[in-house]
Amino acid sequence: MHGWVGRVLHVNLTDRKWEIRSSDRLDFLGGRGYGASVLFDAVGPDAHPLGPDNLLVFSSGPLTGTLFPGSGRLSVVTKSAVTCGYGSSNVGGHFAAEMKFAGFDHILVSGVASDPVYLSIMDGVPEIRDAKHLWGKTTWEAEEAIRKELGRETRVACIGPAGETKALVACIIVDKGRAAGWSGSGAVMGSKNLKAIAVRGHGAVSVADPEGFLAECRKAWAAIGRSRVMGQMKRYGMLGISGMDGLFSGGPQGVKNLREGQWEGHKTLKLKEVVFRERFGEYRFGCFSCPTPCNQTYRIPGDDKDHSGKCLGIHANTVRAFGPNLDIDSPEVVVRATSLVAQLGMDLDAVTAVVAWAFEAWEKGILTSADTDGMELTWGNSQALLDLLWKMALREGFGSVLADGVRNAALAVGRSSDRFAMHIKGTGLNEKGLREYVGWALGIATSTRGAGHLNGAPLTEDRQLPKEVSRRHFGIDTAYEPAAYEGKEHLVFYYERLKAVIDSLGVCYCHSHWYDENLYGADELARAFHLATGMAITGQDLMRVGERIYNLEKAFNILHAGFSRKDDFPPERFFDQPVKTGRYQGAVLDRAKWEELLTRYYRVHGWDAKSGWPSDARLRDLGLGHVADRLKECGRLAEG
Amino acid sequence: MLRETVAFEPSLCSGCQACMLGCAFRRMRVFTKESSIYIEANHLFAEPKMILHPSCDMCPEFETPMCIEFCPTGALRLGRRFC
Repeated sequence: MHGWVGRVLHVNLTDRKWEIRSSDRLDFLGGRGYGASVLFDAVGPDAHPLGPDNLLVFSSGPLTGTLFPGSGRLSVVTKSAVTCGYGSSNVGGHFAAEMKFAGFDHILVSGVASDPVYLSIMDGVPEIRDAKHLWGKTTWEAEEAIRKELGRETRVACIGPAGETKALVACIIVDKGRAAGWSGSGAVMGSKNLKAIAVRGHGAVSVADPEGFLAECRKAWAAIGRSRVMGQMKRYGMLGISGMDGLFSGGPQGVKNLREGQWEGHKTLKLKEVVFRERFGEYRFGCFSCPTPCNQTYRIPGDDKDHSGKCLGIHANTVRAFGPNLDIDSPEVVVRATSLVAQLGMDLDAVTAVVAWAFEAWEKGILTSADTDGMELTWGNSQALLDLLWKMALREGFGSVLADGVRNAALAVGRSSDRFAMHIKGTGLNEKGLREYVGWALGIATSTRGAGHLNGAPLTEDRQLPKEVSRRHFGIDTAYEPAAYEGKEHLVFYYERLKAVIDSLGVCYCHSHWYDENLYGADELARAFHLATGMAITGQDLMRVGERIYNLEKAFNILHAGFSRKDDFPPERFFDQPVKTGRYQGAVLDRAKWEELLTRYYRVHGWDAKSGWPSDARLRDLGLGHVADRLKECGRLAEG
Repeated sequence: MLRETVAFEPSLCSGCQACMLGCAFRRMRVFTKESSIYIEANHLFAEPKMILHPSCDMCPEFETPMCIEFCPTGALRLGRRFC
């Protein structure tokens, strides 16, 4: 077998047994596609996300571990503890490649261990080890302790205290600062009493056509080397591109629980990329086989007392989360909060959504100090943020109200506070541009993992390129027009399939058409896949695989969470509160146009316009007959 | 006598280990980290280290050794050493 290493590890923690099987489901490629396929078949609609029947899938792709650029991506797939539907995360670092060198394409974890354990895989040999001594430790402490036990080169994916308390804002941390966020994956891992998975191996990934594959890798690396955006990424990281400055500067921001689109200039200046780089920047950090290391370690000089003065990876969404969304303009606080969420094992997008909601509820007088353990949740109160992070992770006092995310917190508090709970399908929002960029908003609102711009949301809408370029790349005129509704269904349809393919091949989305239309797209990926695995495929066929994966995820959501058309809307705020200042002053979503856009979006997919459910014909055409049958049994299959 | 070698600037290294993949691929035609060059960069907040194994022959068939070709940051470059 080429590309894949050919083995899957199935672990049942309830009876502490494991089994090794051959890699299968190759028509779903690997990574996210493999996870979606196995999850659909193995987890029933009655399975509780935090119960023994849920499955936690760690999955690499056929290009993972090779010299293809950005080949270090890992997908973590599970039934979402946040939406009760499909859950997936995608994380970089070195874990996925090391997992393949240790002999496995995928690791599937089911059951619940009676006591805390961790799973080690050293050169193909799995072992379920006691983790009582690691329970209660932060992700950094746990990773260091495991390295002492298993060797310095071990790569670790683990949970922190937040995962142990099954906080739904918990995630899985890889390499101390890379987060497999979304979906409450950390809570799922904690519910299984699984503290960590540690991998180390001396194995190899072979490819079908070594010379051809190397030539393809060289071409992809060279294209990245020529790209202006990738040059910026390499020099200034993600923060330099999409943060407070960079190529797309002057664009939208998400301010004070996303109710405003532009932050005051003097505050914006305090959180520019150069501030973090020059004041706190230390070492560059690249994920495995990455030509554009977008990560950096940061350290507040002279402050080592509790390790919260240093962190890895301040990105655009990090600054948005702990800056404008909470009206905090201190770069030191951004460093500390980034450090704490990594050490405690929390998803910063989910965290900022719920904390910003609490700040707004305080402002409106819905929450008082009687609710908040005496804390004053005023905008910009950075100490309250740092205290709340600990309280949420440990489920202490008011933190226990926030620990399960913004939708659940608003339900618990009541008093009409759900009006400003910023979530879609229960998934907290940490997004800019929901009023300004229509295609971006559509991609976020229809995402199969609840919300988030890393499914179908395009990055084209602020580039202001001519119609001819739009037509050449996407077959529509409006790809670069932020306020246009026409054609955006095609743009989102394109990117959601491309992203599904990229996540399933185990490579990085940043090096693709998403950031720069001159980088790899479906045709280049199809060539690399062919040369790696020996299995011939066209770019068009690869996009069809992406569509199959997306439909499977959609069907999982319909079966498990009952999602339909009504769930594909951004919160009311984005329809009735226009942007007040800046370049996009007056921008707001138009409900009638959104309804029409949604209808066109469903039609492009072959889904029913009224319910948003897939049709029998389209599912069978995609080779998902068994999925159509399951939906039909539940009465949730569209006619046609 | 001066001979060519691979010089390392740790402050530029991102720890992506593409150099190790390139080196191993040239010898074995598979992707593995068992190569003549080793980058230890899995300890955050500490400077990366490079170890060059005596088996390194500087890829005489190429203009640039594979490890240097695939180093994205310029941390690896051609250098000279006494021998």
